[in-house]
Amino acid sequence: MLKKLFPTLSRFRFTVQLIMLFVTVYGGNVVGHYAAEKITGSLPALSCAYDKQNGGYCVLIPLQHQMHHRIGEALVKGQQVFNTVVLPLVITLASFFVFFVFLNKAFCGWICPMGTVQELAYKFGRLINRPLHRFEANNVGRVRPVKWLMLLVLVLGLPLMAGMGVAPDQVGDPYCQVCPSRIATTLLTADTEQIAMRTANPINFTLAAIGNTMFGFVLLAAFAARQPFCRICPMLSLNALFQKLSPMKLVKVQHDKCDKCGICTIACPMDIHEIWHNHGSKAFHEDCTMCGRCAEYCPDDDVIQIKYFGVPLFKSSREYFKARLKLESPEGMPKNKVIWLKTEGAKNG
Amino acid sequence: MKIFKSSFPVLALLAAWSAEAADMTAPASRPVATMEHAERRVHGGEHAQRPAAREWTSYPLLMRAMTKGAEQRGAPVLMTTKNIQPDKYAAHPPSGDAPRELELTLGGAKLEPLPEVGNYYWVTAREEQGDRITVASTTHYFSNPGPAPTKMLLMQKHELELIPQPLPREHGRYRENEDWKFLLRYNGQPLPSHAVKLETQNGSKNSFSSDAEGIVTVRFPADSKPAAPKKEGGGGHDHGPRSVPFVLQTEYEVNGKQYITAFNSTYSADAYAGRSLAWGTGFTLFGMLLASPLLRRKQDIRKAKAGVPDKAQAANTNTAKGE
Repeated sequence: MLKKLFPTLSRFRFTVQLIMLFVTVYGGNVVGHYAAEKITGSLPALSCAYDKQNGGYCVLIPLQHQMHHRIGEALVKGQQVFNTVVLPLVITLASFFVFFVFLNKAFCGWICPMGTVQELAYKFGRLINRPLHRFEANNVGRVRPVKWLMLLVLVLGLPLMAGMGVAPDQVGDPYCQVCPSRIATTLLTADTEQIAMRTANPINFTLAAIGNTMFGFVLLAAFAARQPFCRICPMLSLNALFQKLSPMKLVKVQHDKCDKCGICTIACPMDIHEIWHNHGSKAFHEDCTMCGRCAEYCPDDDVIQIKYFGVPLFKSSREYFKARLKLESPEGMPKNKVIWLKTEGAKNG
Repeated sequence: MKIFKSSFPVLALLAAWSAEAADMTAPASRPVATMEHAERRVHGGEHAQRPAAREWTSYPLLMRAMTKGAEQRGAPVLMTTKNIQPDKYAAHPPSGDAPRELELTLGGAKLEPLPEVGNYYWVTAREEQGDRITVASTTHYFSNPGPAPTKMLLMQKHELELIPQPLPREHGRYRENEDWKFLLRYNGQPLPSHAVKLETQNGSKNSFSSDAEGIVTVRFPADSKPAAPKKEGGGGHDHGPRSVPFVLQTEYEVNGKQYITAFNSTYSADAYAGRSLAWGTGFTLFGMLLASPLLRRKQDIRKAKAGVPDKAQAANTNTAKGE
């Protein structure tokens, strides 16, 4: 029965994504109205608090607030360090980690509403026959540091400086002001307040202009590129900080055929070439969103596995690979439109 | 109780004196009984208050007193009243547990958060004079993990009550041009077809009526005035235009007794005040324009340049085929 409903891991993941899109955007109508009734106040996904119907809060909100109001202000005042600084930060990070430990970076690939919106846009792009743009091994490295900059500057640095009074108060929550998920999820509830830009002062205006431009860019670019915002998302880097601590892991073993194959990289929506060239812990890259597509499209038995406490939840197999190809190409083209991308191995050989 | 009540004018005088000391910009001759507070929202129902110029309502009000250190998060706050001489103050925690009577101090009734009890406290001041019972109510928000205030709101606290359904949650607030629901009930039962009056510090006065389920839908008036520019730096929190106090009040007479209940809080400017949908849409479209070249195929671009139709439509990607 389950196998009929979910013939592939991708179908199962897509179902989970749609359910979680409902929960993160409209779930407040089910779980409750107040913050205390939410699934969590530190969800490792971009579930926006500006969405008045959401079912959980993104961890980046309390992080920015604590940098702004607690750490920054307390550093200036130099008092009440433990109760007002350390404890709230530890509570936020601990509640984030309690959730994170169960699913690791699958929060990005399975739960995040912005990730789902981008995947839906990409699927639509396939239907209307738009091209696919992807990063190759020689240029993907240029975009990867951006997510760390976003975390350090927008989530931690500027809020901290605003709290200390050395930066304007308007940059107390700069990431929220540029986050495309804030606009996307509120628009999904028919609320246009967040797409309306703040014009009261130049700083708010500038941040809002960046945010709205990025939202427009990401929304359209997702028709022709996979997960354009995920690549620079600070949640990806925050989750990457903890990914080695979770019992949920992506595992790849060394295999002779890997060098000439590389389908796993073609299937990867984050263009992670390391999953092809590396094995062991190096294959589980910081950009991985644990979508499982690499394991689905690996044509050899047990080479790539998703494990939880060492127990395989999903593992690659030749039989599954053949069945999967009949439905969709590694780069996401639906049945009857299978055109493979040229791999580096194919170019060389 | 009588000792409490008779000592109130003295306490109020001392409270007013301490408030004056804390705010040297307030007029020295401002009478104690007419001291008003403009409120600025900090978070949820938490408010800082400033002296205002004139009296704006005769309805009972329960407010946070202006005290030194009042902005400190999680710190105890002092509550004072206006247009009511309370016999006692009580605070209902969000857990729905039994209320605590608040201790009276020089600056007002002292409200302290309890650890892990929750964010919202329902605070009331009650006055009984013969057959006239007056209750002023408000909420105070402590940044304090704990249960949601649903149970606290639903439990009966006094005879006649106006209960927000729901309260604005964290990151939310009452705002101009928005409809918010309040449950009007007497002895725990909904009170249908009953008038409830709204007054705001900006001078608006409106009347609403409860429906068959006792629900009053209040539309907050668009009566905001331009806010003074906020000082930069110092680690405060910019929540946009200044919040304005309002009070909802209703009366009910039964068995020769008159019950008066009021709920006061603040509301702020319209959701779109200081925002521009046109600019927002414009920059979003600009972003889309920047992304639009990505949607074009290389062969489409070549075709456009050559000006000839390209029949190689079967290709699905820009990159070369290579199985």
